[in-house]
Amino acid sequence: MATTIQKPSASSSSTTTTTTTFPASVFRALTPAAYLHAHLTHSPPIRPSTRAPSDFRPPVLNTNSLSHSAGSAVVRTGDTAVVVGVRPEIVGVKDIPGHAEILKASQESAGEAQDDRVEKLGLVVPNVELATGCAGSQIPGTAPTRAAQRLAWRVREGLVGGGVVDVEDLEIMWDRPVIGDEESSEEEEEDGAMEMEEENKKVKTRGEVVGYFVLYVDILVISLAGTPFDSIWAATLAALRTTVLPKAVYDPELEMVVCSPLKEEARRLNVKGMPIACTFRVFEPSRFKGLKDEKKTWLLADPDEMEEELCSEEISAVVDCSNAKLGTQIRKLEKTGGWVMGAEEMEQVIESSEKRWAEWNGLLEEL
Amino acid sequence: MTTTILHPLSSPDGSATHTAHGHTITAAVNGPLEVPRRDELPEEATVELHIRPATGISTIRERSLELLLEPTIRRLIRTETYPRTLIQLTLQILRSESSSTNTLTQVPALLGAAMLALLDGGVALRTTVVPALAVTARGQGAVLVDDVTEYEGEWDGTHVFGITGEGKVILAKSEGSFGVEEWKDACAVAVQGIMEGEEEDSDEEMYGDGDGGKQETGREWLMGVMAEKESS
Repeated sequence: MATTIQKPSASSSSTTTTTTTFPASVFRALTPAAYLHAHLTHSPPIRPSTRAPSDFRPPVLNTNSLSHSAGSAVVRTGDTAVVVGVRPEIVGVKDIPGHAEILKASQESAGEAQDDRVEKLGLVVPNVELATGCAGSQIPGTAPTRAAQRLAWRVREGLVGGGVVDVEDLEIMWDRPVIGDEESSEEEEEDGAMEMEEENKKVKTRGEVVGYFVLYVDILVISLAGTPFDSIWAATLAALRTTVLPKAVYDPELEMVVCSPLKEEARRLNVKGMPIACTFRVFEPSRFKGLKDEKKTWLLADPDEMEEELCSEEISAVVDCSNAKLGTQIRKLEKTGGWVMGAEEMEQVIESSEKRWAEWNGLLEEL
Repeated sequence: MTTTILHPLSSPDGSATHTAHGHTITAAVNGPLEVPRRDELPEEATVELHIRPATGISTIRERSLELLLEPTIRRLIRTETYPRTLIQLTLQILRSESSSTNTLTQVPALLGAAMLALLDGGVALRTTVVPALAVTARGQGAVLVDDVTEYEGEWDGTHVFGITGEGKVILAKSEGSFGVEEWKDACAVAVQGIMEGEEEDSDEEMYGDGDGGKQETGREWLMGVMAEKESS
């Protein structure tokens, strides 16, 4: 910015009003809150990044750019850039302690409650790394920061609790041949299969879970300029939507699961719904020296790094408008650090999120 | 059932043990303390929040909860009263009835314990906060609940609120599937339950031991706890 902003000098005791003129960058460095406030009180209000308060940064999406992962995506919104790669690994049920009980519990509660095997068995493992130098606060050689850990947990919550990935998609089944009735009654098995057999004695095989695909979701934030979660979440969703799992079969002779190298036999991972994360911050000038009399507050969509530092109140919503019958479903809503936004104002947040959802949906739907 | 013990620990400046929604938390607050130079803020206090699980060491689950609660706690404390100092808050989970890794139902107990410890420690606050837990079902009203696992109706959305002394929402965390109308409903029910008392048809017990008569509201509960402290 080459323009200069005039700021009246603070010396109110003297009668002569002197005016100091200095570059915008100095103004920003000295009093960031007043700098942001000066922008927002323009008509129409504008943010230092030239966005309107309700504007999100336009997203850019690239998929399958990593050749060695099953699915990957690169998302960039403004100066925040995120790479996500999905790597499947196979775990046999023999290596999962207590698997039989967990499987039984989930089959008994089938229909009533959501199958929570993805959570219990840890079949989706997200990891977030904030790359060294992606932001000024990221210094090399340190343990994962609390911010990175929180992001990883939120991704996990979204993938596991939100039912985005179905456990059926990760199961590796084997049709176990059944020899005679005695053997089958000796073995532990579900009631449904028993009944089936009584009905039709000719059934010679029985579907059995022999293993699972575990999806490692590795998230690398290469550049961080505010609102990392929105980009991370969109990139994760895009990566999962492009994930291709090979056909896996159990070989009873080798006693292990083998994967088919054929591309034609591989299948796409089925991702349910289209939850999109939208983050907002509330700017309260009255929290800062010299702006105490300003009663007005501003809701800023998709805040950048400077805005995040100045705004304590954060609202983060995950909305899904893909189900036309239910309309807008809010899957998650988090608000902390302030009390400006109440029940009435939340409508504005959700309305804004719906618009953002349409924007992301346009990009992600085609994958 | 909500129970509270004020000042169970003798060495910290303030402490409280709080049970709510099946979680028992002991909170301890120390401050103002000397702050490590790299964390020192020239014009306000540094606020640190630590959450320790009942078993094992803290994981990303606790880190996530810390970062959710920290901005709220920082906003509650008059940090400008204690420049260049540290206010340290430790929340130890003593017992959790639910084995689920879901963090949501733990939030009200953590927030309640933190609030009580801050009051017990005499830390200057902007306002008080009282937590509430509510559930909503699509197309139906919201209900305040004591324990989600014992709630007998069907629900799609679980909501946690932290309501300030002025009846405003400082903290909210919701999960499930719900519309904005249901969220507003849950919010209104939470504010009402804390500020004015619940409606007659509610059979859920929120605070106190409900010895017949009118339900105690969240605010009355907090006032009662503080009155007890003053008299002791």
